[in-house]
Amino acid sequence: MKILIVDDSKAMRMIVKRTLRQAGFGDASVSEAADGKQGLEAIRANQPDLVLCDWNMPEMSGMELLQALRAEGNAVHFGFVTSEGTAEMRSLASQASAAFLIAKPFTPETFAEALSGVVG
Amino acid sequence: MLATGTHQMLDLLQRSCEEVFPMALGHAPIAEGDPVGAMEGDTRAALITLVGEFGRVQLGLATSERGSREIAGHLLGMEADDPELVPDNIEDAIGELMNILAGHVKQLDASLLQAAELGLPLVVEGHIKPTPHQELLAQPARIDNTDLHLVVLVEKRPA
Repeated sequence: MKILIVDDSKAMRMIVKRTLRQAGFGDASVSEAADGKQGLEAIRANQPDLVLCDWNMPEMSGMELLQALRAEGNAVHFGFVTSEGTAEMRSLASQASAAFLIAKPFTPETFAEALSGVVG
Repeated sequence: MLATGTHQMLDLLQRSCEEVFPMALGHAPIAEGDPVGAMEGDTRAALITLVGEFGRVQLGLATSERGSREIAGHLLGMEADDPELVPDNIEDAIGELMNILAGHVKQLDASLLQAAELGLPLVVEGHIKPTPHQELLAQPARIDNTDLHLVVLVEKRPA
């Protein structure tokens, strides 16, 4: 399985990678992108099975990335990993066809539960 | 009623640390004495702004250079002396930790959840002093062997 992490924080990308391993996804091939624009290029080039994406990023936000993907007919599994998880954000994410929204701080169990419903 | 008084905000930040630190850093914070109204000496601090109709509130985490390295190490699952913990990674890590703490502060208070926008975290070095229009309150604390201060800077309201 190929997973792409899109986050402008290198620290958070490292934490998400570690949490994926702890959640039982240690066999996945994990790649990274530092903003939505880089993420879009990486998705087009590498066709991951799942995208884990921050909400607020420079260049292109997570929501803009998701909308761009769906506009070009790309149905890749997509989940947000973000520092806020308001009801409004969850609703926006769901309407835009995100599979889940994980609010920080998170645990490996949170990841396992959210991802198992999508790529389990 | 928005919980944006100095003591209320410090209480929310402390509660956020108590819930976030064990999960993110593997250690619970321990308060060391009473809150103080001024910071002494230079620190490395991650600050983030909550802004809304109520004004601006800055939340912060201040420690030493060594302390920021130790906290970043806890967050990233590394030893404090790991060569991969270069200054950029340390700043990124403590900024991200502040971002998580502030997001959780909003989750803890329903009025803030609706009324406050979260800014981007900023990492600064030097002496943290309030402007003439701000009030500062800081809680000395410790996590594992690292001393730190939880800091709030709140705009004074007109009398």
